[in-house]
Amino acid sequence: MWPPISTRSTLAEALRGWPAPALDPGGPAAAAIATLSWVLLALTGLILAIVLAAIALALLGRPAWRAWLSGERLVWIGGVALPIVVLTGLLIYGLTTTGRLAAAGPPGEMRVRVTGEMWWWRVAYLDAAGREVIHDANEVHIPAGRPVTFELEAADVIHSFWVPRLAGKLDMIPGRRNVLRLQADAPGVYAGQCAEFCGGPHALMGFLVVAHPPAEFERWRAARLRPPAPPSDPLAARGAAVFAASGCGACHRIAGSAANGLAGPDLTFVGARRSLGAGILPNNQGTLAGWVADSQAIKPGNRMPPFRTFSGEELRALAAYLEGLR
Amino acid sequence: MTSETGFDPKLLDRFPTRERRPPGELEELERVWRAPGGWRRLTVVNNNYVGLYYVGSAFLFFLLAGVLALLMRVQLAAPLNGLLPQEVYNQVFTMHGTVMMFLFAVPAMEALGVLLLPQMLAARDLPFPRLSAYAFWAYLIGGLCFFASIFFGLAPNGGWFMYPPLTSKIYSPGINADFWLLGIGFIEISAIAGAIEIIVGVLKTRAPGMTLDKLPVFAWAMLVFAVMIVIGFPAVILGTLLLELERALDWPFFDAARGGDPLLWQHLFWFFGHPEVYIIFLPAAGITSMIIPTVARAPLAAYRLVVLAILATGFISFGVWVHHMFTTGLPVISVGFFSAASMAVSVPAGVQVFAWIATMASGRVRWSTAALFAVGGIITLTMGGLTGVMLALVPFDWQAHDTYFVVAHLHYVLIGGMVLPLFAGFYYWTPMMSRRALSERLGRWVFGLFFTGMHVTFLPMHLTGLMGMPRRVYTYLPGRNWEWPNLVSTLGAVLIAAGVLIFLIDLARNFRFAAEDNAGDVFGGGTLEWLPTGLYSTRSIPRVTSRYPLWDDPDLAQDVEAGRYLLPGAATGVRETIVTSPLRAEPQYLQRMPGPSVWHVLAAVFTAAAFLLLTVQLYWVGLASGVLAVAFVLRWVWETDWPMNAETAELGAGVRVPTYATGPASHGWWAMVVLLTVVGMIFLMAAFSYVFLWSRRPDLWIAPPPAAQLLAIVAGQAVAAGFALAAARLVRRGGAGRVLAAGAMIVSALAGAAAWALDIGGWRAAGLIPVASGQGATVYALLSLQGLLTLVILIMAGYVAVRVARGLVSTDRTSTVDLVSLFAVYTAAQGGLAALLARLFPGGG
Amino acid sequence: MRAWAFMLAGLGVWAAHLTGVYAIASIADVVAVAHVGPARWAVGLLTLACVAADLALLASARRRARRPADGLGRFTVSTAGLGAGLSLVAVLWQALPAAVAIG
Repeated sequence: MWPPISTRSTLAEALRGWPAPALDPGGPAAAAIATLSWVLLALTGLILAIVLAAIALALLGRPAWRAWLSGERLVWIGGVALPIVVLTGLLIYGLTTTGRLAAAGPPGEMRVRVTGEMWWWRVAYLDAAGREVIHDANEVHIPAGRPVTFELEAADVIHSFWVPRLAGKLDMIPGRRNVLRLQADAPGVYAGQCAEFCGGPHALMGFLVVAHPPAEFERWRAARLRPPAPPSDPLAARGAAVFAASGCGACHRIAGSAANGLAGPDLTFVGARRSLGAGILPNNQGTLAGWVADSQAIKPGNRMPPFRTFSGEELRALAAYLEGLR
Repeated sequence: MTSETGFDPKLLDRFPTRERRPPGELEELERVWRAPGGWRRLTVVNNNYVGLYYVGSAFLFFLLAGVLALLMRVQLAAPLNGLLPQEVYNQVFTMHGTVMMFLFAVPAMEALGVLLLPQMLAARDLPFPRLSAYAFWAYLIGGLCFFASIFFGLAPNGGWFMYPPLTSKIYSPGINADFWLLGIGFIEISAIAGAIEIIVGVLKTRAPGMTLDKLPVFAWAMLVFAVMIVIGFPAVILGTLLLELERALDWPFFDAARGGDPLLWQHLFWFFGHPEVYIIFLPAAGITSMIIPTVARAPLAAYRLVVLAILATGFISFGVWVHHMFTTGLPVISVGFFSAASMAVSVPAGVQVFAWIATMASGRVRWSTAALFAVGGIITLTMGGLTGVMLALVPFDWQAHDTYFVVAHLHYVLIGGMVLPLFAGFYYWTPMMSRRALSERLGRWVFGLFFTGMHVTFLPMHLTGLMGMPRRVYTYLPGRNWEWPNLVSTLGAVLIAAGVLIFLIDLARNFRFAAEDNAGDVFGGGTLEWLPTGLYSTRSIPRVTSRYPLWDDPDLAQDVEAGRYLLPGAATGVRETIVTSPLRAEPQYLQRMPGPSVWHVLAAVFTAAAFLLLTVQLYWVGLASGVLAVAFVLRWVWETDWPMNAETAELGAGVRVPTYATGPASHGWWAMVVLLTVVGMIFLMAAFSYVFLWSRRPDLWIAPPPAAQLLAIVAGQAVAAGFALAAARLVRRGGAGRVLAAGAMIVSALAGAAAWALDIGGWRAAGLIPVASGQGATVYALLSLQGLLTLVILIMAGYVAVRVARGLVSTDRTSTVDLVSLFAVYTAAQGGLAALLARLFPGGG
Repeated sequence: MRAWAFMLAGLGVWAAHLTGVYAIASIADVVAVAHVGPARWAVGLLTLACVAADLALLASARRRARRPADGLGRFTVSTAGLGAGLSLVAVLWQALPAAVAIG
């Protein structure tokens, strides 16, 4: 009866705005809200039609109609009785849905901590004891069909974590930790967006949630617990050398190497990401090189300075190295 | 019929009188009310001029902010459009919202009040003409300088609600945010000044016999508007003060690392911000309630329900602010309460909509541009209200918050609820103040383009938001299908612009200001503003017996013009108006009104200058400017409480009233009470901030100073209060009473200052510094507020002493002392309470 | 003054209720993690008190409406009654979150 859940498995599909993501739910939370939304749209459409009809009758109707509409009676019926009935029902509906959506998860549920930064997302997967065991950025992987608890924090200013196909948004506020439960019913890629103005390139602060079939997710997780192998081909090895020599490690971390900076996104598995720059570019050697050379031209105001001093050969090497980090 | 004041209502039956008016009476009235010419026109205080300038200025800001909107829409018409660089766009959208909300919407409603209320109530002017003139000049000068910031790249860029930490010094290092914080400062002063005017005007200067149940709905709406400003603006006044203190002095109100909380700003801002939108909407609803009956030629249906709706909106709008914070992670039960209250606030709006429909049904609408805009507004407002109900449901808000869905909603309610009725008001009331009415032919084009353009622009945005487009984005990626709805919205914006352009052309061709030979009652309205008027408002002030006096008494206009009602001339040879009682509008006394003056203009110039100089960090010059502003205010106030040339005056037909009043019946007393309410609300918000931050981080609270000190402080404040009360009693005794009263005021001021010094000294000795924690910041904020009031009392005590020395205070001229005494008692009470509050909360650290 | 107080009393009851539930929720948030139980009882009690106050106001308005009065008198009584009625609806709505077991 409701529009079918559409599966989107690539970046381009995830970014599409049609069907409208908030009304194209991919999980139970978004589905509950979508149902509520359709009910609201229908109701408000009906009420608007009633008001427009009343106006039309008041202006153009037969004298008998207009006489019925004059005086206090219409005000009592339309302005008091009708709203009280409709709004009481809506309020109960809304409050019960709110309660269901906000219920906390059981203690053993998988937890992911996402920290909003200007203008990217720091991701950390927690083990059962609450230690951060996998670090990543701008992309979150979850098993499909199971709820996952997200701990949302902010490093600098207020951001907001929003994956419209999966759930409503929740703000990331410095000094607070907010908790959001998300579930993707089917495997696929779900686009997210920062939804609280955080200055500068807030418009270009997106992210992706990637849902895997559960078995595949376990394999993914196991692979992530091991740092990537050192680069095998000479170009990538050259890239690793350029990376190390240029001080990139001061801001970026690559597990298994000397680079351990925390100011910028973790690059340990950057090659495997489906996007670059926080959900705004496809991920390939060309975009990697372009980002390193001059990310300011792509995402003005972001915290990474341009590196125009690299030669074309160095950039190709770096891109090959980064692409191999998967 | 009972009486409220002891005035015999049968005296009013003597009107209209039958005798001829004495020769020269009308000429004397005209002479007394004549406006100065040439450059002296800047010193004018008459509401006709001030109101016109005010409305014109507000409309100018509407145009400026509208141009900013056009720029935004062109930028967003295509993805990754390079028309406006990121930083410019961020400033443009911030200024669009800020200018529309602070420099257009609220001032436009205030301006209409200034322009229309005296005529609608048949008062000769508002009770404090220089105050509204001051408010206007401060607003115009400050507003223009504030807008100019965008040409220097210094415009604020944090969004019109300026959330910290983004707007803290670290993340907004330039002075852009300071422009907003201090720039809003003089707007806040302007708004408060206007609110005082309107409250006292609506309640105390009505035509005799205009009991509350006959008050025009626009006046009811303005009354509630003004009270809401008094209760709501202090929250943003305090909030902007705190954020500026954090930026300038590093006091950590919103810095989570030291015990502040970004949500404190949101609570303060939205406690103001939500009532703000109803502050904007209610007067416009009042406009619709005046226009629909006239164009339908039928009285407003369900008057008592409409009035209750306005009153209820005034109250309930203060209880919904958290619906702007549904996504901040507050406990679900809390947000539930506010969702429920948000449902409740929509009921009064629906009542008004159906009352308008019922009125249209009970009459026969004669179409005109005013009628088109009014009905168009009703439809648009209804749509906006319905999406508001959707957003009031928490789960839906969790998807739609901070997306273009909200942008759609807010423009539907603001344009439908305010701008369209405002345009209706322009077309409706222009004949009252212009030689020619606006063109009906062009008006239909204006309406058609504006109304159509509005829906073409904003209807798609509901979808755009659900498609995932957040607010405040300078661009968006291709491939998201956001291009098409954005392009359509931009085309709609062009239509709106075309409509406004035609309106401007019409205005230029037809509007010619005229207080006397105006186009007259073109629409056949029934309320008093349609009486023939001059700069003195009406020739004589009618006795009112119905809600639509011009409909119920066809001879009224003629009788009023011939001087057959009250106060047909200048009874004491100066500008005057009748002060009446709040419930039954029984005449109480004759109030002297000031004429043109330069002091309030200078005060306004230096007030605006002080704020702007502080913004650009010219601190000493700014301080000097502030001192000058205070000096000019005192010089202006010096001319109040002046002796009249007779103790009573005749209103006509042998009805005599006093020419002076003090105490709870006087307009000055009421103004002081309203002002103290504002101050009290600022204190309440500061107290809330203190308790809120304590609740977040009680572990950071240090122990308070010893309790004995609190007793000393409270005792000192009690002494201050006692001497202030004594001053008011002493001044009523003859002989040396006046000198003793001045002395008592000085002792009161010094006692208050000593208590304050003890308070601040105690905290410093206890080791608390403002930059240390949320406790430090809020305690010193409370101390700063108290210090400011203490300084004011010291100055005013000196002022009283000077007036006594000059012989301007006497046993029957006690108003100055009474008002200063009232202020001083309040200050003492606040000082005691603040000291107590800050010491009540346990500190462990 | 008394006339204003009577006219606005119902809306004042609403204001007291909203302030009360906000305070209860805030205190509950600070005082304990498992806060729903006592908070709900507190909201329930407050709601009963406010409902009683509104009903009393309605009754009072109805009584006064039967006395002869002029236009202003009828208006005052009417406003008081309507305000109390709206307040009653709003207070009951505001009590729902505590009743509907959310939080």
